[in-house]
Amino acid sequence: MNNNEKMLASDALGSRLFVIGGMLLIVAGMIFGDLYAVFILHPNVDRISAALAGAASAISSHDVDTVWRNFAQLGGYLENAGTKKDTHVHIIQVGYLALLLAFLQSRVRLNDRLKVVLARLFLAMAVVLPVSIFLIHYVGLVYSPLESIGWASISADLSGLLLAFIVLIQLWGLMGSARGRPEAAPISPALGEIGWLLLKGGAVLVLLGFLFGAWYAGVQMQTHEARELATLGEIIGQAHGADQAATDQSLLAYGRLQGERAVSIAAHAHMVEFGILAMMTSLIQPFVYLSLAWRRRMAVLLLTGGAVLPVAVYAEIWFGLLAGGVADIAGLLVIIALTGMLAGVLRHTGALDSQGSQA
Amino acid sequence: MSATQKLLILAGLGLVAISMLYGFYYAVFDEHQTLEKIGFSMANGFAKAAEGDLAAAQASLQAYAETRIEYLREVHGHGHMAALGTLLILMGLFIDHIIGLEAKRLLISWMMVAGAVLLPLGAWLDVLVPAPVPKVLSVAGASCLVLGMVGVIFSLLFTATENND
Repeated sequence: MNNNEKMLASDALGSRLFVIGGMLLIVAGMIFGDLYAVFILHPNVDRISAALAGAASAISSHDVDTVWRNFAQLGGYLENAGTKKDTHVHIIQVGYLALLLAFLQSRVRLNDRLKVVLARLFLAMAVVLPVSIFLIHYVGLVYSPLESIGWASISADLSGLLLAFIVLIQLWGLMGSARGRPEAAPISPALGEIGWLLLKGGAVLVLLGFLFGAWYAGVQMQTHEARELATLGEIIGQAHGADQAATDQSLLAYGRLQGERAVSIAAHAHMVEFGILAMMTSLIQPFVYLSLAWRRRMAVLLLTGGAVLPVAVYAEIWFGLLAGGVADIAGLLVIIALTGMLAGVLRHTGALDSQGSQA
Repeated sequence: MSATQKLLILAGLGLVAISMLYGFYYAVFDEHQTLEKIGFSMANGFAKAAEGDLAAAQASLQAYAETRIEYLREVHGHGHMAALGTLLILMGLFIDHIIGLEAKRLLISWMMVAGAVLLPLGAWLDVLVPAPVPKVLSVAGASCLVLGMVGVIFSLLFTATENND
């Protein structure tokens, strides 16, 4: 058994759990992200705009109760969208972490049984955390002992804390190993043709994501923040003066500004995240038990989807839902590629188990 | 593990752990209060305008804008630290494959680690410390990260790729 196979062998259960669990979490997070974009994000934008327009209209008629009623609805819509986005982000982030921890298990100086317990606990909390975040909007403050934090938030907070402790234990185990005699075997597998393709493509995506983020933070971000306050001031001033046409224009400008801001941040974040994902999947290529041709197809799909999605998200500023549709399809390409790779990893573990039982 | 791998992996895991602990602290002690303040100040701005008090409405919107910026910086600090910590661990896993010279590996690794610490720190300090210190930290952090990634890509272009497929 070579070094690569040792990582997925049935007696290295901790690594195997982290690899398969990590990939499942990332795939689940991506599917959730696509569903969120199609069914929640876009319809929610219309509801938020309508609630804000309702509040602005109530200024003209001096109806304070209607203002508060519209903002109560607006808060609900924002919480609905925000918790869904946080669910998506947190599933993927803990999935990435699980996949990386798989490679570090051979260097974590801890008892093998403890490693398996920690891997199981990590994966359990990696499910509890996003599910709890998802439920925050629905559970609210029902039966909560606290004034502003509900049971779903408490569950999310505690699972996040437990995950942090597991990471600290892994760090402690690694520091023990780092102080010891250096091991001859490399920590990660040698990369083949597909691994190099993913590594190079991923690194380019990360760099482009950094450059876009730097441009946004340096040129656009503060302008957007200043424009938001100015536009809100215009809305209330125009609504107070009962200038309906000007108020409608300002509401439109406010919606456009929020859209520009959201897609700029999303384009930056997705570019970096897909770059990291491509680089990460370069390391698992030796465990993907598929033919070279199929692995190449999966790698090309992943890189294509990872490059197109952020561009399409940003293009929503000009092309609206058409670009949004392209982004959703690009997301689907990444999901297909990852699912294919996961199937290859599962085939690999099956082959190793079968060899083990025959030996 | 080589010295570079130790630096990247331990720093990366450390940053991920700090980011998670900060996320816990923030979610329990600050986030809900901040979100309530954001929602209340914006709604109050509109309500005051409906009552005809435009000065109070503007003051409330100003409070909304300031609290929202504070919220965004705190969340971005948390998110950037976790993502950059992840990237450091990942780089620690493959850096020995792509850069032969230990001195070059260490230089690029230190740049990435410095960037991964400075960038989120700049975001957090933006609401606590007056300009220009937070901006300087953020720009320095972003520059280190960009230069570090350019170094990685440059090395990748000139690495003789072994073929194990």
